[in-house]
Amino acid sequence: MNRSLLKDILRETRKQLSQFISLALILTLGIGFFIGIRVTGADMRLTADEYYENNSLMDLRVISTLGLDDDCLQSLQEIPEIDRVYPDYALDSNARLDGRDFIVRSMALPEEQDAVNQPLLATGRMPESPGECLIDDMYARTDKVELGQTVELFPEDDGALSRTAFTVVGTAKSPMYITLDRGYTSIGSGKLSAFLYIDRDVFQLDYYTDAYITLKNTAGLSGYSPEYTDAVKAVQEKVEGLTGTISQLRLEKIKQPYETEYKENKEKFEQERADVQQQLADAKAELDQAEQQLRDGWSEWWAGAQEAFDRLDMEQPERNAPQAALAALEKKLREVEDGLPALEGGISELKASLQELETGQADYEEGQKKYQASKEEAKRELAASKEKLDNSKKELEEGEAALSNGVSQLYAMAGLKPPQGLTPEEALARAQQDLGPFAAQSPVLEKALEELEAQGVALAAGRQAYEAGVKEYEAGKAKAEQELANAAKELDAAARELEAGRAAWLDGAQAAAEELGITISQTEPSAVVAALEAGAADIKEGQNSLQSGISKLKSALKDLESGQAEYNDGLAAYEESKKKADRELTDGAAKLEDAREKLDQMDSPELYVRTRSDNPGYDNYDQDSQRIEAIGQVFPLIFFLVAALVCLSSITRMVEEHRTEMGTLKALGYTQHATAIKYMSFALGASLIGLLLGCIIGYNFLPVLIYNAYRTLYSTPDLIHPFSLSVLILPAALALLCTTLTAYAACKLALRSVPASLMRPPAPKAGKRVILEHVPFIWTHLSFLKKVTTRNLLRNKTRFWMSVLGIAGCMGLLITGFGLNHSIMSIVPTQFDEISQYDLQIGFSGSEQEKQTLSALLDSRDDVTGHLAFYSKSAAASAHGANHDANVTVLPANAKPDGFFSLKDRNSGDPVPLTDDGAVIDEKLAILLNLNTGDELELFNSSEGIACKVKVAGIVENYVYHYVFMTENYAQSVMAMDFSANLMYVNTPNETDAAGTDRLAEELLRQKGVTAVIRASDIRGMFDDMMGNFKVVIAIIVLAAGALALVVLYNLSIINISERQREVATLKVLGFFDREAWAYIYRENIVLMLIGIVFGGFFGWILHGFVVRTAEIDMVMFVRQLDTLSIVLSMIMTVVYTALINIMVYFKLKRINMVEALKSVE
Amino acid sequence: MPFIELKDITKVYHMGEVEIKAADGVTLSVERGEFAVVVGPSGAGKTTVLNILGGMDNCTSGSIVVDGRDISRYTQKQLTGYRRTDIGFVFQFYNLIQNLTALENVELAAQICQNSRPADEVLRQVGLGERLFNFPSQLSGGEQQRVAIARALAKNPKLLLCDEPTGALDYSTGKSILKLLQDTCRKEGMTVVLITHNQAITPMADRIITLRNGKVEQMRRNETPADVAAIEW
Repeated sequence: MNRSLLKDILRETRKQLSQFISLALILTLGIGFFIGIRVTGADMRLTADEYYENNSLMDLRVISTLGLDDDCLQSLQEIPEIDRVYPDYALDSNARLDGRDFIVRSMALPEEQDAVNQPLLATGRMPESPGECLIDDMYARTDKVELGQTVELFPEDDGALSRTAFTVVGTAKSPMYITLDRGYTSIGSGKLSAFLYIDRDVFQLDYYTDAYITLKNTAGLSGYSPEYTDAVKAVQEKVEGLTGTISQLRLEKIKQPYETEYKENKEKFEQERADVQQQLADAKAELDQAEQQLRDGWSEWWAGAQEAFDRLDMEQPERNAPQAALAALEKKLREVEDGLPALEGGISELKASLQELETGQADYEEGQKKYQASKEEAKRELAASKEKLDNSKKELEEGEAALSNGVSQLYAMAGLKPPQGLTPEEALARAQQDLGPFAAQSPVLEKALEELEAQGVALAAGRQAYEAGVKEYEAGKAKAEQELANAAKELDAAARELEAGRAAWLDGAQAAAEELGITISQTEPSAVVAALEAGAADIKEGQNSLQSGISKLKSALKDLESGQAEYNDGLAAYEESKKKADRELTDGAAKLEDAREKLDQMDSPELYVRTRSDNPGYDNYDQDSQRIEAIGQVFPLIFFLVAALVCLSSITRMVEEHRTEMGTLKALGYTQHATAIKYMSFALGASLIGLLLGCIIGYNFLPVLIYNAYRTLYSTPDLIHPFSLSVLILPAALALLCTTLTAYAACKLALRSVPASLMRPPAPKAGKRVILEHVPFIWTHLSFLKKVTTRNLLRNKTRFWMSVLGIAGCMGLLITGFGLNHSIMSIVPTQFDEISQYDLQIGFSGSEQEKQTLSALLDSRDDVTGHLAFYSKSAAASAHGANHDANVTVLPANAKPDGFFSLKDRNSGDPVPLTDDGAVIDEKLAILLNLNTGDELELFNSSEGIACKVKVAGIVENYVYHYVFMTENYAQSVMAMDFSANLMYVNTPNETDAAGTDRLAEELLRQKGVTAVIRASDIRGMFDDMMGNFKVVIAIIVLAAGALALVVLYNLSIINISERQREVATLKVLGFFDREAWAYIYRENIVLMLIGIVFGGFFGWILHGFVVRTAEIDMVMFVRQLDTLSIVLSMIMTVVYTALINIMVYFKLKRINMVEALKSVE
Repeated sequence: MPFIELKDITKVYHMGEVEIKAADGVTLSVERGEFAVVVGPSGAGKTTVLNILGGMDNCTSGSIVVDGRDISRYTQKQLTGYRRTDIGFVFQFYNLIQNLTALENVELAAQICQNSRPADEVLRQVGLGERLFNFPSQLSGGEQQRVAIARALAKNPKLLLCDEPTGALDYSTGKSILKLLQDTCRKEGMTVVLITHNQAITPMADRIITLRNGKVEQMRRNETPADVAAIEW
């Protein structure tokens, strides 16, 4: 390239400055936007990763319901993939600063250089003393906290912190909290507002609240990459495997001091009990011994007393009155002493009476002898008489018998029956009677009868004699008997007398014996007397011994009594002690029992292993970056293409304008190549500048802009925006293609012609009849100038389509921008007004009993209008090779979700019933897993025991999260599991305000079994924020589209005008006022605009749908409809832009110099 | 009172430090109904004068009075109005609107005038009765120029300005165009000012103005204008 050409190029550039600039501008916008949107997502993640890396954000976090200790840390450290286990303290409490109350989490300032989760100082300085603290930077900014103010904490446990007032000396960002959300807590209303960093030593807890873990195998991995997730998951599983052990360890550790204490106490107790019991036993033994001794003593005494009593012949003493007994003894002794002589006298008397008795006895015996002899004799006599009588009797009987026979014979003779039952005499009498008559007839009979009569008489006489004899005998007997009886009587009397006498004597002896105090076993009187006499002697003897004995008894009694008293005292004391000891021992035992029970009932703590995803905002950040990236896939490309297209036409036109020059150069002998260079250089220059500026905007400006817009909601450091070549390649290539290469091609094309023809003005495009002319109906009604416009439009097809496409492209981009805005913004109202209708969500993990209590409480409250309890756990839902997390929601049999969440079809609005036929899933999930009604999907969650296939019975409208709804019946038919409710939706009356809801939440949190209370308004707010972030992106898109539209339209118009300078000049010459000439031009523009809007609408509709689907995050479903407002707004903007351009055209037009434009080519 | 009177017209172009005097004190006059020809070598300032006269350009100083009106002080708007109603312009390269037929091209001009002549009539007048519905690309050079003339005439101007109208035409066609112009001038009584560097056609003019270096070298009246047909060159 020689110097002249170079000069030419530079001058050309200066002349066509506006063209050059607009070209460069278009490319800048196109490239900048393209790169910017593409890299922002990655830059965001890179920034975050740097932040996490520099501030050592943990990879895993272990927390337990009972804290952690060094042993726990030890076991964790044994996992090989773990780099460090860092223990930390954290405490949630109410706080007050500058009169404002809020809930804060106080964390320990890391002490070592390489601690985990280091805060990033934002303003102020690091605390240097325990009285200073760092406060949450985000909170400080939004709540206007100033350095130097004091924060006061009110922890529930007074001893947890060594001090509670701190001066704010600086603000900090924490890599754990990158968003506004500070998480949930179990105190107060359940929501944390800010965090605080205080000196580690202020914490006086004897356990760690958190164990933060960094891993070796994650070094160098981006926190948002799947490799990282996998690496962490692998270790997480290992740690979770350990949780059982650690939990146990922890429990033991916690229990340990108590166990030791318990053991000690138990030992002590047992020892003491043993001691006490021993003591008591000893005492008892002593007492027993004493008692025994006493008893023995008493026995002895009583024995002695008894002896004495016996000796004195007294009654059995009553054993309970020894004194009395003694007295009685003494009395008796005296009596005896007194009575002894009488006694002796008595004995003598007895002796004498005995003598008498013996005499009497002898008499009696004699008498008895006599009696016996008489008796014998009488007996003999009587016997003899008796014999005689017996003989008579016998005779008599014989006679009777003969009589009887005779009578019978008589009767027989008479031929009559003999009478029965009569005595023979009677029979005879009868016979006489009966037979008498007969006898008169029969001499035999008469004789017989007479015989019989004689017999009878004889019999009678005999009988008489007998009877007399009997009488004699009887009399004699009686007499004898009488005499004997008398004798006997006498004897008896004598015997009786003797007996009495003897008895009396015995009595007397007995009495004497009694008086002597001896028993007489003998009956023999002399022995008795002897005994009596011996007894008396004894008595005498005994008296003396008795005397001494009694004295002994007396003294013994004294001893015994004192001993008894002592013993009694001792016993009482013993009883007392025993009682006390028993009481104390029972108490002690009970306490131990209690303690034991408590210790045994201590549950091992629950351990939770959390990853970074559980940090509020961590995943959201990723999703936001992904969203931008998703948009960056398609949108900027279109953008860029529009820009490229415009460049193309621009360059082409420019080349065409310079035909003459090119012809000249060619005629001068410059090669085609050399000729083309000029235009290529122009193009290249513009594109290089465009590239350069585009890079600056794309790599630096735009990402920072987008990112900083997000930073109102994220608390992260400044964006790192490195230069990455890969993103640049496509746009750079396209840019060069569309400019430089186009220039070359256009030149080539143009230079095909010979120089001569080039140097002539180009044959103007032939006019042609347009199709519309063949429709006379319309054509004739068009005004003249309108016909001109129509022909003009259609004359240059390329220009026509270029313009239409340019406008359509911009319109389409605008529609996409606005439409996307609507698609995303309307999710929150639609979801939270129409679909998720509940007001509060309660997490529950208590017993059935506690559930009932809670239910009852909710029923009773005025500020609760209804509640629904159900089972909800997340599980992996998979089908057709894809899987996504979903909330498995199981409703109890008769539960109705109405009022809490609505299940309806999106397109028709009809409600979708939840039946026992299958599960109802949300539309987005159905899309992600490619499911229709009737298909099957798998649910899996190993730690909850969910593993089954469910059938899809319905698909419902839902925009946030994924759900698999089932009735309990259906769920149990596919999984044998207990679906006890762990989540509850609660509705409050419409008038309830935020304060009221807070109060309710606080109340509910205090209930047993309630683990968390989340307000729907909070969830909604979170999503609002999330979507709000997105507004930024939308705004940028819309602005960029608008800017592009403006530039494109401007460019097109410029092209338009430059091509038609002569035409416009002619009009001006003809006398067209500027306005008229303007109308001539802008009429075309308006038609182009209208056509472009129609095409653009269509294009935008497609692009919008496409972008919505690609920019969507899995967890969310964007509203698919393109709303009218978006279209209308886009149209308005396009119209406004066109109007602006037209105005600019006017001014350009005005400046057209007729003379210059119509300059003849000489 | 001459129909057109230019007094001491200067037109100075400033290109940075350089000053170019396209017209340097031009004074001339043309009577009504005259056929005036302005001749001079290239760069003499002919087109400049014509442009100024036609209200397409302003003069730096001097005065122009056309039909009693001083147009040198006219505003842009007034000039446009002046061009609209009083001037008919014919260019060397016709400058027809390609998208319009001959008839429409003339109608375009006629539309904006109050007292315009019917387009088809004028076209017939110029001999293009058969060519009313042809596009310029379908017309020969001469025909195109006729259309241009028709366009200029349709406006019923006071003044017809022609800038080398035969420059792009061959001899015979050019001659016929010149004849048309002459006829129009004589028949309609239209004042025609024609620029050319062809001295040969000066005999047809009523007035001959010679420009050189931006000044009027000579202005003389030709008492016996010849018919164009009679002139040979």
